[in-house]
Amino acid sequence: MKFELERLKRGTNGKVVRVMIVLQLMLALAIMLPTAAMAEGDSQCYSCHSDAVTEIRESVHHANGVDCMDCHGGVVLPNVSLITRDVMSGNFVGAPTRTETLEFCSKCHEDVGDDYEASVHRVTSEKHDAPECRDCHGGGHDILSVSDPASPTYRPNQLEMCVDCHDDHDMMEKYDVNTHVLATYEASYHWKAFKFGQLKAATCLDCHGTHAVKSEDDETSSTSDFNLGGTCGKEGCHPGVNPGARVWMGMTHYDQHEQTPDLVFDKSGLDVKERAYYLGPINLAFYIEIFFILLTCTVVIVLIIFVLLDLLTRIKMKKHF
Amino acid sequence: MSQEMKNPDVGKEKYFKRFTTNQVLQHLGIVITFSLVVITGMPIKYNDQWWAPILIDILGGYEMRTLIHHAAGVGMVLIGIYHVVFYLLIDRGPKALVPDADLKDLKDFWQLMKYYFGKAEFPKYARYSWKEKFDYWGALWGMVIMCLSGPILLLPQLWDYLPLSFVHIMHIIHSDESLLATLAIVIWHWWNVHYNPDLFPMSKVWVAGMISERQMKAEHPLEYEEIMRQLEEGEVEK
Repeated sequence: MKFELERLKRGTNGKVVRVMIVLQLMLALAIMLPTAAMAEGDSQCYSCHSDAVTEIRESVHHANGVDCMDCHGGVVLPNVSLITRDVMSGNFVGAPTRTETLEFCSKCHEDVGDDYEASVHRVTSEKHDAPECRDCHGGGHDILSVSDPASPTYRPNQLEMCVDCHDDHDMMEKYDVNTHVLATYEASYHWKAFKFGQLKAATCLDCHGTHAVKSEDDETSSTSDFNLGGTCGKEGCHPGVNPGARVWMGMTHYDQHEQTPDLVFDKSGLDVKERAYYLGPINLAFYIEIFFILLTCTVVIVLIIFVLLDLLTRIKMKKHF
Repeated sequence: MSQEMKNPDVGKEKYFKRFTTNQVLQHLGIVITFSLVVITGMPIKYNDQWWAPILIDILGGYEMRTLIHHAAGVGMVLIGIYHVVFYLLIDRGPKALVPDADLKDLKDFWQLMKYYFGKAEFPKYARYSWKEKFDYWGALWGMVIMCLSGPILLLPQLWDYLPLSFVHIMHIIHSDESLLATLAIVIWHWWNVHYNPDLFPMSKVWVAGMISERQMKAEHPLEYEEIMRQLEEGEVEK
């Protein structure tokens, strides 16, 4: 080293400068190469997309080693120039549109994608409001685990997640889906147990399925006539009920308070499941409720009148015995 | 009828045997199980009320509530079966609770109403007054309804054979009858045996199985006369 410095001092000016430049470049490379190698996969993105990267870093994807490039593609091309060094460039994929999401997520989530594709929720150009992955799982970057209390898919949050759309009269009307599902669910024992913390009680997804939500008219649906018994009889729910059980003969989302006192003599227009509520022209659910209301009111009024008469008489007279 | 006169040394009051130990125990069993099913069932029927979550907390959480409700319900069904089997097959003696063929109960009821307006004497009841008969048959109606609908909701094994509409209707019946039964007990039964001024704080008949001579004369004069007649004729031992 000492010999080299001696030589530099003795040499011409131009030669010293050239050697100095080479030395500086070598020094810069020596410092920068290890820094680039140690950087996280998303650190280059952070400087511009700080919000998105922060969300990703808190998501279930990041926890499982999935980062920006896994979804958005692109490659790191360092040293393109001094300014664009370390900036990603190349074949990025932007945020997918509603119809593209399935393909986008299915690259990794194959099974789930297949289930969703066959479901009634599959977004098509005619069914634009149907839920795609992000509608249920979060905005896109901040997708959380189903076991995270902040996630919309967390068990106690599931009802709200479904009701968001299914209680929206305008949206449901477009697709001819009824909106009484929430009211009838809240009238059921399932909800009463659920809201008091009995979280194993059934909520939407337990019967209708998660990704493979299908119409009850679809034979492969978990709520179809044949499969309903097996769905009720799931492990942890009502074991003992078998597929093909007669329990399908009736309406799960049914509230006697929503029924009318009309006598129906011609039941040919009624669904076979709704017909199961009728004895002759009488809707049993409705009229049994009315019967008990009348019976209870009558009995209670008569008994109260009797108690009052008894009390007044005893006040007027001295003790009986 | 096991109505031999007893004379335990409780003051100077004479006591009559009114209920057998068997009957007292059956009633006690129903008191316990009925109270439990009402306390554990009402927070579900009235789940929107402010007291529902508090009551469930006191009961030890939702799972415990369900467990108590089911256990007490099964107990109630067993007592009901025992009662029916015992009085239909084993002890077919007294028919004192069956309404009278000569409409005495209806006449007594009408006479009581006139009595309330000062137009007649207090009716003379036999062993069981129309009030007690109404109580008994009302409770039996409730027992039959609750003990049939309850197990249908409890046992999903039955749903293989039952349409959902039927299970649903049983749900409605179970819920509606529970309110009727609770109100009938609290308003009517408790008035008659608890908080009416003659008996307040409560009639002790249901614990001791004994009824005092004074109460006997006032509330069951016909039965009292019958026992006295039998005693004089030596049909019943002292």
